[in-house]
Amino acid sequence: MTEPEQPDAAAGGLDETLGETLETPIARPAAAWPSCPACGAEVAPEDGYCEECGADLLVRRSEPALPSGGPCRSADCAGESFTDGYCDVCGSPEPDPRDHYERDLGPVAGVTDRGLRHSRNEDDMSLAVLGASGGAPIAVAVVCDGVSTSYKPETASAAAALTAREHLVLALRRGEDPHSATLGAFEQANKAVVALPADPVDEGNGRASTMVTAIVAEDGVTVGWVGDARVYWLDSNPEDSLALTLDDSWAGRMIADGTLTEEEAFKSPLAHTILRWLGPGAPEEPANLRVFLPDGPGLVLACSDGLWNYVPDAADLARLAAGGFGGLQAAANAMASVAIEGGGHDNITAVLVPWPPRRPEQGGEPTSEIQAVNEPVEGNEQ
Amino acid sequence: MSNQPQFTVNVYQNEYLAEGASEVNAIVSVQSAAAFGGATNSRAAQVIMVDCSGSMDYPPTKMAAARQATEAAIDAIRDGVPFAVVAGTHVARMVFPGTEYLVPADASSRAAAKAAVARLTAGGGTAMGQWLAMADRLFTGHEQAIRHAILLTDGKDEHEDPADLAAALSRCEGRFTCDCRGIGTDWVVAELRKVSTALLGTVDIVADPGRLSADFQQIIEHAMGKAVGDVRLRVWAPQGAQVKFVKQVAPQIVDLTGRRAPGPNPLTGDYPTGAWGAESRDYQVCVQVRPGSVGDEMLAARIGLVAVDGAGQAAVLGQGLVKAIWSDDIAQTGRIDRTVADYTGQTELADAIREGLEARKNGDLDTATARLGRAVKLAAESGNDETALLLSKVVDVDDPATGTVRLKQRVSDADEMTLDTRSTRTARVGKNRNNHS
Repeated sequence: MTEPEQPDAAAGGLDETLGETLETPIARPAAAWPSCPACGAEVAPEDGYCEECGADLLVRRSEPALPSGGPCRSADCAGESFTDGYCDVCGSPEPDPRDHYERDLGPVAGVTDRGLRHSRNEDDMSLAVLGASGGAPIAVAVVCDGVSTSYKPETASAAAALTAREHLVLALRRGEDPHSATLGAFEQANKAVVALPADPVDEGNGRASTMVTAIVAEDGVTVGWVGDARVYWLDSNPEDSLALTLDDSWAGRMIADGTLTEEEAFKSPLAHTILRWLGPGAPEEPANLRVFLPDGPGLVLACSDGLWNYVPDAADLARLAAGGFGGLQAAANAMASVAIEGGGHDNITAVLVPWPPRRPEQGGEPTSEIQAVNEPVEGNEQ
Repeated sequence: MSNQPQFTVNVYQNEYLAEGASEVNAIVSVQSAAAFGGATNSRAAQVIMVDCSGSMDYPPTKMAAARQATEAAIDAIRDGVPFAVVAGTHVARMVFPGTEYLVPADASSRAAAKAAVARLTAGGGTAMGQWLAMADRLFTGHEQAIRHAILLTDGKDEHEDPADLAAALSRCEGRFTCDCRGIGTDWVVAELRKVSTALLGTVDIVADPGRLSADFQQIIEHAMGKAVGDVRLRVWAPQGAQVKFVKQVAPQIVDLTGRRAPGPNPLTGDYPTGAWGAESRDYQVCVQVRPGSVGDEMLAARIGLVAVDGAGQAAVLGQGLVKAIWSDDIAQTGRIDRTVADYTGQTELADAIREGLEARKNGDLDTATARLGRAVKLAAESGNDETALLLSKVVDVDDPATGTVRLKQRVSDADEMTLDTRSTRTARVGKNRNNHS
């Protein structure tokens, strides 16, 4: 295995002349953080409010999916009680809050959906906005896609997304640069997935997930990835849009090598075979990284292959998002709907962040506490 | 401190079904480990039924072996365990004690019992239903104990109507377990198998009377190792589904499908598994569910293992889930679960042997050749050397790969009966297991 490669024009036949791709991380002055922008008192990276003056530090985190309850999701079943996660009458899975959920933090919004052909949603997402870091807001988006053939992939993606998001929030608030924060987030997320118990029936079958992260700051977009979830830049001029990631998949490798064209590569049954992942047995190398500085306004899209399988072209995605002018959440939902209407063959996740990043509104949702990332939702069957 | 063994339940299956598919197959593997090694504190009760019909004297070594084996069995009974010995002919007669009750084992009761056994002589007919009925009466009042019996015979159940035996069996089902042994070659495998199956025990041939003592001793030791009595498989299947079969597939094949009793709710049924010590058993469960569309998931069955005490109270010892997920990914739906496939093959092997031997008995030599040839092929494919060896005593094998065989002209009764009784024994399969066999 080699060093992480920079994507090139072969990735989706995209125009590389737009925007500025930086080989090295942006030099960032030692952050003034952690101190309260209102009263100057010291604050801890974990704090959502200033302990001294009570000022809202404008940290927003998305909540993971929460249990919803309700009757059996099978149309012709009257069951209302569930055991081991299944309806006591017809055996259908208990209504799962992850089947579809949306999170709108204002400056970043996303949706994840089970689609039509999978029994559960193995994708997950986690979002954050840091509103007061040195005056310029930063948005964080994490999208994970559990590897279907692994053991309980939905737990791997949930643990990875939450762990990575928390690491990014704390690292950025401690003043770490986005480059090292991203590498650290992948290391921590990998550890979290590795720490989950393996399949009791088949010890060799560990858990696995892919992941993309995007740190959207005024001075650049830092993208990290392992696997075949993608980050796109959707320019206000759609034709100037491009993919920022290069899939860690068989097809991605063939295209990058120049061995096959994009069309040829995706015809292969091996096309979607993942070459890198988070979890036991993953190749030990740093995550792929890319830093991108847009020329003008646009949207950053982080998504799973359940979306880009239907709309792979960056310009098409940009037109679909329509600049997010109808609202970020609405734009993300519209993208997911296209994948569902196209057949919904896989789980779908789409997260949108405008660039330049926006500041969350004062007095919005109170900042959530840090989630217990070491105890992901665990369906215990034994 | 509890002396309940620890139960572990694992389910082996490919849960992925192609669109429209509706049959779900799974192997439910149950292992129990005693909470502490060796002896258990559980209460037991033991009855030994010895065939004393006239034929036991032809040759007289049979009666001598039966006496010796019964004495060995008595020595193996744990101190304090109530026991009795019954002589079986066309009637049942108490050997020890003299009247119908169980006496706790100790040095003096064992000595008295062995003295009574030493005086046993052969004479009379065979009516096993009578023997079983007496065992059932003897166990009355010992419902809190783990009740076990041994039945030894050398002949056909010819001094009662088959309906009498069937009636006795249906009364004894669930009352006690019974291991059956046939000595010599004049007994009927199918008849004794009916008894052992109904009473959740084993059946085997003791062709060499000299081996009977060791066998009896082993049976008793095994029975004394049981720690929990009335254990049932509790199978839940969703509304609209049908449990097609429930079979024990290891250590031997026992079809439990017809033994279903109503469970605690209409979607649940209980299947008896008898008493458990530290051991491993595997079950195959087949459920017909309503077919789903791609992306649907369903719990096709929940297999619980429950212990029911004398008062009818059930305690859950373990459980496993059998799932169905409909997919259009051939990599998922096409995967063959090795454990399910291996046991399906072993069940087919047992069926082929039974059908082949039956056809041979009925003079249908074409069917016999075809079925036993199929059995040779299956045994070769699965590496079941023990069964292959037994088959080679009944057929001449030209090519095991194709199953080309010729029926042997002369086959000893003992070889044929050995193949028949042992055809239902299976080799445990699966990965990451502690093999107890």
